[in-house]
Amino acid sequence: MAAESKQALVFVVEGTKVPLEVNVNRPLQSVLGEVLEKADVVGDKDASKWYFKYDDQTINDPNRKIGEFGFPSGAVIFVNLKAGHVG
Amino acid sequence: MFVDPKISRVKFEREVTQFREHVDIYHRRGVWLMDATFPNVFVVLVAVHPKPFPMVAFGVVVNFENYDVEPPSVQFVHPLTRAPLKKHELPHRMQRATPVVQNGQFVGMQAQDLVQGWDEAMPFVCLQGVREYHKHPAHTGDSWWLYRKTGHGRLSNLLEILATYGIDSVRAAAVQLMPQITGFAIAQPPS
Repeated sequence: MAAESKQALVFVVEGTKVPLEVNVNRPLQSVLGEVLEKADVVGDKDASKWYFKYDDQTINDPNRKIGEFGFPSGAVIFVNLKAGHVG
Repeated sequence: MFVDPKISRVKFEREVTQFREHVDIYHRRGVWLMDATFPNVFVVLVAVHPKPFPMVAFGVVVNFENYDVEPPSVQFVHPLTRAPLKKHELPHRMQRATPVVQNGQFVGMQAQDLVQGWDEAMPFVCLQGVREYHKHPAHTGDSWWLYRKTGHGRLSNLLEILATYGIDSVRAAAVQLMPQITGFAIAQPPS
């Protein structure tokens, strides 16, 4: 069983900062619900409607473990809502 | 204005403060907040990828009047004069690739314009969380109140959309040359 190792990260949900200490063995995607909850986002929390960005790059595989991304401690990760449907 | 400006101002200042907390990241991406005087935020967007020089794409004024009983308004403006831009004055149409599905089958991708409006009219961003979208007669069934506090209509969300579709994919100026024959080229005039 992998040892639990924690890392401090800062998620920014549409401007709202959510500092979080996370287990690096968790998939990044798995923290989304908790992050949205703490950012006081209401309504649809469907994971397919959100995406992560780090250092100006969209994270294409959020199902990887957090530790695999090599984020420095305190890294700022943006959590953005995908654009809705065009009217 | 029907919302007490004191309330909208507090929310406006929260949005601007949150933007400024990450201003270095926004600047690197080409999103420059030039002025924030309630109820307007003036932002200039710069395409940073073109070589050899970055190119200023456009400006926007995001208006937070009546926020957040109403979503912010987004108006495209000249990046230096802040004069409102017409649709044909925008450098491009901010296209977005969307999947086409027919009879439940994916058949390909198509480009959709995020910016709508007639050429001579004021263009608007046709997305949820933008005042012009929700006020449009075609969208009366898609109320802002379905989106308020979901992340839509936040300054950060609007600037992310404008940067993603307005500047991130710009790589160069589109050039159109029209060669014209003006006469003959003479190798060496005879003496």
